[in-house]
Amino acid sequence: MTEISSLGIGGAGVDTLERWALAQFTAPARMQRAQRKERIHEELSQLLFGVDLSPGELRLYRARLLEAIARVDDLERAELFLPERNLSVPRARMMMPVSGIGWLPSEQTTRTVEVSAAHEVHSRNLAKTLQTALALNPKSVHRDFHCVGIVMARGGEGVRWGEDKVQLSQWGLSVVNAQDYPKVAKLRLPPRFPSQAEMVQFRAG
Amino acid sequence: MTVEEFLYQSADRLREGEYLVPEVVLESIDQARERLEEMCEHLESDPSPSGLEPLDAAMFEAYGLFLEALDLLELAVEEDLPGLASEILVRTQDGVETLREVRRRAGFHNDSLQEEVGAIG
Repeated sequence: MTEISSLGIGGAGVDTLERWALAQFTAPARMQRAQRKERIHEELSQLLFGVDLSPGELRLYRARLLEAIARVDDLERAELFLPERNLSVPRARMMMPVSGIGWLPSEQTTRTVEVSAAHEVHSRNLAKTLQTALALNPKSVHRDFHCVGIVMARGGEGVRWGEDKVQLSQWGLSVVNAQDYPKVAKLRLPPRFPSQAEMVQFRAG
Repeated sequence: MTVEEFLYQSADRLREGEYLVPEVVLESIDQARERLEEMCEHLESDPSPSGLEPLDAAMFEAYGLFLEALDLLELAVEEDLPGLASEILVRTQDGVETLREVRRRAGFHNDSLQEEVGAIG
């Protein structure tokens, strides 16, 4: 498994934005950021150090200092033209498409998905079960990894079924068995399961 | 809404567990990137004279921090990773502090030079 701490934090050896983002959570990345900030402040404190200016240059340098302040103002006042729509919606009001049916998930009490040891155990148990199923039918290309049946009642229309299913190829299954998640480009699991990044973070911790 | 406000608000909402609307956020990220890249190019084409280079370096650092925060925000929206909110906030805050320092130092030296110009007449 690729160790997160071995990833380059400034871009070297980081081939995707995802890997770069993961590398930002490492201690070396945080330390490097702190040092960079300190260096910038240190350099600013030495502004005009040892510079001997003629009367003409004094005016020129003053103009340049005022320009620097104007640049800061420009950035602080740079307005974005946002579309007239909300930037975000509460997850509780977000419709999710499930097999052609709009599904409104029930309100969650937890703020974000937390990765726990239980997730890890659950994922291993599923992998074992799937390994057994694969042994019984080795010709099968894809296997159900996780399957959730959803019952919905909508007004007078009665009860309808939806289904949220995650399938894995044999290769995907091997990856899950090996617990070598960084090799998975995108592992999309239902909300109660951790995402790839969270799994990697959990394993690294 | 300014670039700074956009980054703070987006990261706050991510942290609060809200779902950022990709159509709105990604378009704004593109706009913000464009503005920052224009500012970078402008500064590159008109560098400060000897002795004032640290001002340019600090401005590039601030632009870079905001651009990194935008990259992280884009990833958080596209891959639905609310855990990146803290990193977005850290970069935005560092960028804001760097800008404040540039203003403070430039203002201080401007006042000093003004006094010298006054003394010379």
